Amino acid sequence: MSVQGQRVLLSGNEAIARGAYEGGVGVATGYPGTPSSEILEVVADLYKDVLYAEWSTNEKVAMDVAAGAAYSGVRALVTTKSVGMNVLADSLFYLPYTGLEAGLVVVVCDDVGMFSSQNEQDNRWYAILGKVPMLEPADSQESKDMVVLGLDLAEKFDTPFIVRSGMRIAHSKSIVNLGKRVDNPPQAKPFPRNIAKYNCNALFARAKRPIIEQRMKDLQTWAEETAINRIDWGETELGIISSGIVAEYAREVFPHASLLKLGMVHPLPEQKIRHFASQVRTLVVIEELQPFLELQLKAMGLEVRGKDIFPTYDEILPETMRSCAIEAGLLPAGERKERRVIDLGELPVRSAVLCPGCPHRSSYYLLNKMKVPVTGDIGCYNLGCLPPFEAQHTMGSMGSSIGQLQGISAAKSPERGVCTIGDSTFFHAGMAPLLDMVHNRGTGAVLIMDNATTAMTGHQDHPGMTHNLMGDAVERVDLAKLCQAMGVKLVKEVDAFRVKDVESALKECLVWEDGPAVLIAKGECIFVTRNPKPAYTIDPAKCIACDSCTRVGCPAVIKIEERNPKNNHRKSGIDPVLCNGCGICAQVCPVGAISQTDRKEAAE
Amino acid sequence: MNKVDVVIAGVGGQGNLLVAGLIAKAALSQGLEAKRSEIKGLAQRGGSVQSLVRIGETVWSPLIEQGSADILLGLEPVEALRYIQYLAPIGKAIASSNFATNPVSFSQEEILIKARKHGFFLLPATELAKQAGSVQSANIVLLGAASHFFPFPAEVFRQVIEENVKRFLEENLKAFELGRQAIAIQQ
Repeated sequence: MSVQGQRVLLSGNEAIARGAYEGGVGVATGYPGTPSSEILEVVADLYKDVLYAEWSTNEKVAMDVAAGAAYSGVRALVTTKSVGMNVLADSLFYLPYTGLEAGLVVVVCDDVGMFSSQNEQDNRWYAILGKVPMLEPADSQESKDMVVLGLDLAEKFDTPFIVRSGMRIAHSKSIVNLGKRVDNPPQAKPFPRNIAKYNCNALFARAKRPIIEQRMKDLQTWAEETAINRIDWGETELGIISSGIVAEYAREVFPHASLLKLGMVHPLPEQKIRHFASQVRTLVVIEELQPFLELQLKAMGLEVRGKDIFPTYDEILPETMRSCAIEAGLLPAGERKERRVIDLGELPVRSAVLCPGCPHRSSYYLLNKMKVPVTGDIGCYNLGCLPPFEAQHTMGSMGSSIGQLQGISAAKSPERGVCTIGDSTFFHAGMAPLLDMVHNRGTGAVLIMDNATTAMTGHQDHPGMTHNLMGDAVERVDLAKLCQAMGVKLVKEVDAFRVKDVESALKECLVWEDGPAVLIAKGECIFVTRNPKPAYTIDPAKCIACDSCTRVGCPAVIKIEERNPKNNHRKSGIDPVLCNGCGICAQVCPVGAISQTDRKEAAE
Repeated sequence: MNKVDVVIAGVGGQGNLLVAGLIAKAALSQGLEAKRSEIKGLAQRGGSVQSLVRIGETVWSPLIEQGSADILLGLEPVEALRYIQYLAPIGKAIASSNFATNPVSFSQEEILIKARKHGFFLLPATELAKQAGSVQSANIVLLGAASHFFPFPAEVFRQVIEENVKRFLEENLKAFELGRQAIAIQQ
């Protein structure tokens, strides 16, 4: 895909990676999170011979690394998922004050509809809140082009730019015309000792306020002229203002309407909007989530409809847009699409489960059995909140499990709690709250589930691993030593695949009184080892249909037709294709009915 | 009008995205525009995977509106039924009658009865793939079955399979033919 002039199908994320390459980015950073994770993977995969990329420990770190690079004169790109923006914002917000020596673009992939996020947020507000200009692409071509444009404009206006993508753009593929990398991309120069510019001491920062206000006015003037804020004139009965993917849906649902598609959503081209409004009979804003554009148009004194027609949460999918429009009289009832429907009754659900061979299985099996309160964190292991485990009682944001555990301790709850946190999440946001527990003498068991990868987002590296995104061999940070150095007095390590060992260590940690206790349950993610062991089998003659094995929640453990005549329950079996041979079911079987297939037998 | 909107439903590991890619590439080779979109479940394997391919002279939205898909391609019968609301009243539904493993127990016969009632062409894609020599090629069997309903000849698909499928090429081409014949016979 590296040939200039080629037309190729790229996902929005691949296109952003390409934009970083073509735009002469020298440093690309981020923390993995759906739907943004593929951007840096593609950058590292295809372009690491010309640029540096890293998975930073969290989004704030990623932002600061990019800032340092941009101060040094090298173009930089930061990627984050929707909620990562909350972590990143702390450091983004000083950048409009300092400006930069080379272009800097923050790509945020929103998750409208909450496919993989704990809350649904409209990140366009960060543009207003932080006084950062924001571009919004509608497809892969624009995703690439707006990264390049953002880098150029960042230098022109001395401010970082945000490019707001989203799940439907990031994970859709459309045609992109490839360009070439800019000639002579900016290289590092002597670091600027310009304290009045780069030090945000209030004394210096206060002086920047009028500069920032003037910059936004200048950008507004630019916005009036740019072709990325484009009017496609149709019939003037209905004029639609929209942006991003929603504008693409609108073109199909309202093929005859006039459309003002905003490629820059902050600051807005007020004169262009007023002109458009004056030419159409009915003006409607179609935007997902909050009335970001609509409120600003109303503040301009324009008569506009929007959220009285379209929903304020979830996606406005084409069918939703059509039915809302028909209901509001924007489209005739005859435009309704007929569906072939159909009473399907109940369809069997296909719920998400921990994979066969997952190292987290033993912990949730035990936490369920021990009936302790469990504050949880973000990762695959949040599947521990679902049946049959139902043993991760909270989940909020990255790292919050440990702070919440400290809260249980501080509240003098009658129960001793456990928190569950993955290795990558611990490095991201778990160290600060653990130090808080140590310093403030909180009690409770901190269960770090170390599967040696960032599993849920697609196995990215982190400081506990022996390689980084550039492919360098690096020394891994030892979690146990790290926790000891942080002042934790009881730190235990166990093999996550040995149920009895995990159980006794967990019990020991739960009664520990001298500050927090840390239990590190180590077991590699099955996608890291990629080395499944021979499948287990269940001897139906021995199986008493007690269902112990089904309580480990493994999709490979199935029910067979044969029943135990005593309780009339169906006996268990193991799907040999799904089973990865971890043996946890065998360890919980009370009658020894489960055994591993002989390696030779399996080979035959 | 060369517009064809395709919904492909299946579970992880069935080669859903490969089929979507082949359809898009076939369209591009004919000078048409193509857009693809996908939703993957949380589970890496065994989770529900839906992908959308739209081809035509001009394609704006990567999503297919409910009630407007021309083809619903089901790599798995339960997953195919789950997305039937996307199909246009005159759209074609083609699905495998072979089920993927599901930890939940249910009546397979009832699912197949529902599918037939809603006008599905059902074919034993996994069995045909085995017959072709590669059990993994059920996806290509279904592509062969669907190939009757595109605005270009089957040869275009054979070409993109040859250019893009690296492993078991002969078996995949055989799988494509078996799927194509299976529908021709039913029609």
